[in-house]
This record gives sequence, C-alpha cells and structure tokens, in this order.
Amino acid sequence: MLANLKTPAQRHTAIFYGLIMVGFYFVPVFSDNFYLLSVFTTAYFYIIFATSWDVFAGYSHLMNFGHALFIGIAGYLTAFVDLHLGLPPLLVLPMCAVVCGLLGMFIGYLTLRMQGPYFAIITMAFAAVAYESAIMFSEYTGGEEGIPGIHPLTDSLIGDYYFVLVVMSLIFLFLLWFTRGRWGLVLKAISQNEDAVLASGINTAWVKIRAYSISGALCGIGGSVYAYSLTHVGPTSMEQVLSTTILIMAMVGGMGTITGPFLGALILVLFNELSRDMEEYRLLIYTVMVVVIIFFAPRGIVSWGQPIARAFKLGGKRGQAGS
Amino acid sequence: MELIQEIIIFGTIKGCVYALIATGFTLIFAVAGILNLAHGTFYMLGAYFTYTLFYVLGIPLPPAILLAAVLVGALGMLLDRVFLKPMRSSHTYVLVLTVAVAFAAQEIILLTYGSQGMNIPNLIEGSVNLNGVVVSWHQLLIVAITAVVLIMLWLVLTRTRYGVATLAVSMDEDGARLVGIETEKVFNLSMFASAFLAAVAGALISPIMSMTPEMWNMPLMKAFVVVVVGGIGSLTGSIMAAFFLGWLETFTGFVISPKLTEVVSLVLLTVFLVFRPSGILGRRLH
Amino acid sequence: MTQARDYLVVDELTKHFGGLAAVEKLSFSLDRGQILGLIGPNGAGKTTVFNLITGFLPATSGRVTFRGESLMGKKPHQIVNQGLARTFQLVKPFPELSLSDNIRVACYGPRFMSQGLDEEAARHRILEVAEQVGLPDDLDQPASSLGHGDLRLLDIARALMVQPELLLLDEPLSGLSSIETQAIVGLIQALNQEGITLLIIEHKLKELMKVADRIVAIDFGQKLAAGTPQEVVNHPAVVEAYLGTKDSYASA
Ligand SMILES: Nc1ncnc2c1ncn2[C@@H]1O[C@H](COP(=O)(O)OP(=O)(O)OP(=O)(O)O)[C@@H](O)[C@H]1O
Ligand SMILES: [Mg+2]
Repeated sequence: MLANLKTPAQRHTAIFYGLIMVGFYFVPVFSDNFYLLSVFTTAYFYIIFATSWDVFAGYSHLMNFGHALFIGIAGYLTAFVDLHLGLPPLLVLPMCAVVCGLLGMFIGYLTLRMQGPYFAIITMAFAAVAYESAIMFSEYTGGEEGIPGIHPLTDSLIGDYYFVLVVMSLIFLFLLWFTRGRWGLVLKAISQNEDAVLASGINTAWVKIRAYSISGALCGIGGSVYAYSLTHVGPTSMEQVLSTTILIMAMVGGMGTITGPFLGALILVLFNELSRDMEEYRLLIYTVMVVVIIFFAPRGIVSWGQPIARAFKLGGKRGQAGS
Repeated sequence: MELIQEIIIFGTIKGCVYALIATGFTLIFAVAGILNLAHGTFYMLGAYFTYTLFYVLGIPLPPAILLAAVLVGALGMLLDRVFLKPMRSSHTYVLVLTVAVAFAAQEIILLTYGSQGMNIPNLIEGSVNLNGVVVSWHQLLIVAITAVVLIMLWLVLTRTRYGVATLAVSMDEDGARLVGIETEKVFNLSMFASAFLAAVAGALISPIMSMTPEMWNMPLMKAFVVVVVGGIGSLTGSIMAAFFLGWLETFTGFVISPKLTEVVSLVLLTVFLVFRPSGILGRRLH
Repeated sequence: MTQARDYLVVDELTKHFGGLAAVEKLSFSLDRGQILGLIGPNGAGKTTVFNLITGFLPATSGRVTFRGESLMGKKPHQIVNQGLARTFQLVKPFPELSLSDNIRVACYGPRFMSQGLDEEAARHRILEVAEQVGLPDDLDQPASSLGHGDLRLLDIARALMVQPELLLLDEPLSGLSSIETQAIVGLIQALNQEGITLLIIEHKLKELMKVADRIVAIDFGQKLAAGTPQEVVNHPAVVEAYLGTKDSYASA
C-alpha cells in the first residue's frame, strides 16, 4: 500500500489516519474510565457501519437508506447461534459476514435496475419489513424487547474495547485497500457514467452487486460484534433512525472516500457524547449542525483536508484528502 | 353488510388523508425530480401551526387551518429556494438534506411543544348515523374538503397558465425551458402546493390522531407507498392508490387483525417495487 | 482467422419506440479492414443502430452478427469483450476522474485482464494510447477541465484501451475545430492502417468521404442507398433526404 502513496498529500493523509488509529490503541493506557471507553467503542461501531455503507452507496451514489438491515440480521443471527448452538465469536463473525454478504447480493440483484430515489425507497422498505417482522414474530425474536443474554465477547471492558477496535481496524484497512485499487475506480466511474463503463467491457451490474455484498458482509461483522458487545439484540438495531444516522455520518464525512465516513462517524459520535451537558438542546444542535455541514460542504468534511493542509503548508497540489 | 359499509366509509376517509399527502409528494417529484423526505414535516407543521394559531392566538379554526397551510407552503418554498436549488440535480444531496431537515424539525418541535400528544378540536362536533355506521361530522368534512381541494388542484393544473406550465415541466423539463417556461417559478409553486396540501392533511387529522414530534414518519411512509403503487409521477395514479391503500388497510384492520394494518403498506411497497416498479399507471422505467 | 467478408452483418434490423419506427428492416454489411460511413439526417436512426449493435438497446426484430456470431441478446460489456468498442455521440467521460483514470477504467474489463497484464503494463498502454490519440500531456488533470475536442479524444482513447477489432465512432468530428478535425481524420486512417475496422457516423461528409471505403445512407430508419462515397452522395434519394436541395456535398 505504501508504494501507492505517490504524492505528499497522500502521504500526509496516511500519516493523519495512521496517527488517529495508533491513538485509539493507546486510549486505555491513559484512562480506564468506563464512560470514555464505551464512547470510543460506540464510535468504532459507527465507523464500521458508516465505512461499510460507503463502499457501496458512497461510491455508487445509490443511496442505501436501510443499511441497519445488516446490523439487525447479523445481531439476531448472533443471538440464535450463541444461545442455541453455543458457537464461539470467531466462528459466528464469519458466519454473519457470509449471511449478510449473500443477503446483500440478493437485494443487489433485485434492485439492480433501480435508480436514485427508487433505490432509496426500496432499501428503506426492506429494512422496515425486517423491523416489523422482528416485532411480529415475537416467539422467536422476543418482539419489542428483543433477545437478551448473549454471551459477552471477553470478560473485561478493556478486552471488549480492543476486540471492537481490532475488528474496526481490519475492516477500515480492508476497505482502504479495496477502494484504492481497481474496484474503487470502477465504482466511482459507474457513479459518474455507467454507460461508458459498460462500453469499456465491464459488467457493471456484477460490480455493483459485489460491492453491495461486501458492504453487507462487513456491516454484518459489525452488527454481530455490536450484539455481543451489548449482550442483547432488539428491533431497534434495524430502525430507520439508525440507517439514516449511518448515512448522514457518511455524507457529513464525505461520501465515496472511506476516510470521510470514518471521520464523520468519529466526529458525530464524539460530539453527541461530549455535548451531553447541553441537555435537551443537544439533539437540536446536532441535527442543525448536520444540515449546515451538508449544505455548505456537500462533499463532506474531508473536502476541507486540502485547504487546511495548504494553510499549514503541508500538502501537494491536487488529489483530495483521502485519496 | 355493515362490515362492508364500515370498510368503505372508513377506508375512504383514510384514503382522503393519504390522497392529500401523496398528491403533493408526487407533484414535486414529477415536476422537479425531488424525492422530498421532509414531506412528512410539512404535515406535522400543518398540525402544530394550526394548534398555535388556534389556541395561542385565538384565531377560529377554519381560518387557522388555512393560514397554517399557507405558512407551511411558504416554508416549503423557502426550503426549495435556499437548500435544494443549489444542488437540485443531485438525488443524493436532496435525499440526505431533506431527511436531515426532517430530523432537525422534529427536534425543534420537541423543544417547543414537548413530546406529549396534543389535539385540536373537530371542525364540527357531533356525528351522524349512516345506515348503521356512526361517523363523526369532522370525518365527513375531511372527505368534502379533500374533494374540494383536489378538484381545485385539478382546475389549477389544467386551467391556469402556471398549471399548464407545471404539467409541461413534469413531462419534459428541457423542452419546457426551450419554449420559455420559467422552470424555477414552476418548481417553487409546486413546492408551495405540495407543502400546502400536506399541511392541510396534518391539520385535518389532528383532532383524530394526536400530534407528536414523530408524526412525520407515518405520512412519509404512506406517500412512498402511494407514489410507488400509483406510478411515480402520475397524479391520477396517486389518488387511486391512496384510496386503494385506505380501503386495504381498513379491510385488514377490520377483517384480519389491527396489528397488521401497518404492515400492509410495507408489503405493497416491496411487492410493487420488486415486481412492478412502474406502478399501476406509471410509465415503464428503464 | 475470421473471414474478411461479412465481418459485421446487420440483417433486417428493426427498432420501434412505441409507435415510432426508429430503425426499420435495415440491412448492411461491413468487410474486415474496411471503413464504413453511416449517414442520414438528424433523427434518421443512426445512433439507434449503434445502440442496437452494441447491446445498449434490445432490437424489436432482426439480427446482427459479428464474425459469424450473433450478437442478439448479449449485454453491452459482453459485446465489447468480443472486440467491438464504441464511442458516444454525447461524449461521456468520467468528469471527476483524471485523464489517466478515465482510460484506466477500460483496463479492468476481462479483455485486458485476461492477458495477465499488471498495473505497470496498464500504465504503459495508457501512455501509449494517450499519445496515439493526442491527448494533452498532463494526464493527472480531471476530465472536467478538458474542452470539447479533447473530450472526444478521451472517449476514443477509452474505447481503444479495450483493443477493439471493430470500432464504432458516433459523430467523432462534431463540434471540432478544423485542426482538431484534421487530427481525428488522421487518427482514423492510422487506426485503419493498424487493422482496425471502423463504422463511423458522421455529418461532415467531406471528411467522411476522405476516409470511408463505403457509405450507407439512411432516413426514417430505412436504407436509402449504399455504395462508394461518390455513388451514395450523388444518389438522388440521398441528396433529397439529406440536403433537401439539389446542392451536392460532393462538390462542396
Ligand atoms: N430511447 C429512446 N426512446 C424513444 N425514442 C428514441 C430513443 N432513442 C432515439 N429515439 C428516437 O428515435 C429516432 C432516431 O434517433 P437517433 O438518435 O437514432 O437519430 P440519429 O440519426 O442518431 O440523429 P442525430 O443525427 O441527431 O444524432 C429519433 O426520432 C429519436 O427521437
Ligand atoms: Mg445520433
């Protein structure tokens, strides 16, 4: 990967995210405050959700409004397998990845012909169907209450912290590798002009289905770890609000960059937690801030990277932060 | 026999509300290609504005509803002018921005009015017995008002200059621009009409259903269903689909189980999107 | 070795859009190594013919065969991978990608990948193609910064990247300055020298006549005439349909 970092701007970007990642690993060294660690853990989950959303939706500009579907499906699967079969997490995680990957492939296939708004509605509908089913088939799913008592990942908070962090790091690195290579380029090209990609001899349908499948599989891994970490799964894990939050985080950070959703999720989760003492105004400020950022920076926070770097006389000329 | 009557009557009332919600949603989608996820917000604001005008400022209910709807219509234009205009062609931006606005509006309402359910009084108190089915006058009035509003919309669209321009833009935006139609104005007026209709629906429903800061979700979902089933961009299709949904939901609630009423929309939505994405009347999509 | 005659055969090809017959029972064929021009007034159905041949539109009826193999029912990318590339009348670059990435996309189809070529080979080929078509030197600039003429070149470069045997160009000269026009005419001749067969839609008859071996003229989706450039351009039906007057482009 380092061989790909041709320009100074790319090297600075790599150093920037590298430092953040290393910083994450040292958080418990400085503080074992329960609250602080759980805030960071939450951020890691949202990073997984938002970056896995991005690899399909962000690159293809097909707005997936139901990403939480994968979180919920993986969560319930985890609960069943853990409680009934007693399988260890290291088996359950790949299983969730496969199931959600196949589900993504299936939905991708069904929705292939749809564009923009239609795609948004149908992804919303699929997640809503799953949500309603989880409430309706309460014998199996525990209805509104969900299923409690999933075995924890490790027996300590710090253990859980590192488990989630490692999973997040691996997913983040994988996504960077995946999108910085040919697939990222092809997906970006598809979002700008699908006909020309077809005319270049590339099966765009298959590329999109595959990206959706990867998006689902990675989110499934995240969803499974999420259920373990909460030791509980319920219909809220596939609520519309969650799907929308993920997409907003990705958009605020900068769609189609992977690093953008990483930053977006991190910043919004931290802001949300750190602003708790603003009490009832917190959500108002949060939502208004989101509207303002999307309005003034539709390409997200990462698009500020270059101007900032230039201000500090860091970066080279072209190339976005994040590329 | 009575059951059938009940389903028809209550289904029609539901259908009226859905029609008010969905025609505006379809209109702005057909005209400007905007899938407005803040459409439910207009409905919510229609209810809360009416509440304020009536209880706080003491304006009588009928003018309060009208004034509220006009105010919401103006807000719709503002949303379009300020937020959507710069990037109207990007579906991504429009979708995310409107959903973010919807959440922000929810928080503002929550802070201003609190989370407890509130109601406004009926336009007319009392009820009538229609062949054994008891219906409140207010519910009948909803049907009458919907009929009047939809007929007016139809007249505006077919008989006025802006209406014809609107239809032209919805068929072929570039063509319309070429023959000298000011598409900006058309977008703006459509946004006004769209928000106005949703606000009327919200105000009319709030004597029957409590208003809460989350009330914008329901109409948005129904609007999706109606628009998809009716064929995206088809006003007639939307109105037909609205009544179809109203009857089907009432039938499900009365005959099968009230628990399933909300699932009906979802099933319809998924089935249509997957198997017949062009809807009942819509053009075939590519 | 494939046969030289009847390399591409269009047989009774028909496309209806609702009530409109955009292409009606159109037949023509193209020999290997030839340059065939396809002409006709605006809305005659030329681009639709391209879309039918390349799989972007399903035909209402009729057949297209390439090297004796039917192309009907194949997807656009499958047809490209048989060695048949195209450009677009409305140039379709990837505006936010750099020039080299615009061309690179075409490396990731099976036709290129199956040769086991690595990134280095791809880079080499990109430079080669960029130079051949005459793109600006700075390949790192985004496509959105190019002018119309260079965008046409970029579209051709992308098509060349799949190493086509048969190249379909949809109005490659439209909107170009005379210098740019000369450059592309030269490029077309050079490509043909290399052994690429070409099917070209073009309104600029003077230039087309310089390069084309044969020309097919259509109007209302039907064939008006076919033959050598001189024959076709002087054909009374063509003169009338195409020009509406008796002035001939041939003498222009
Ligand atoms: N996808 C489509 N749907 C409906 N009608 C179409 C479609 N594509 C083309 N047409 C119609 O088919 C006819 C032929 O169009 P086509 O684009 O093939 O013409 P053309 O010969 O390429 O014209 P030009 O020289 O202007 O490019 C036109 O009347 C056009 O309006
Ligand atoms: Mg054409």
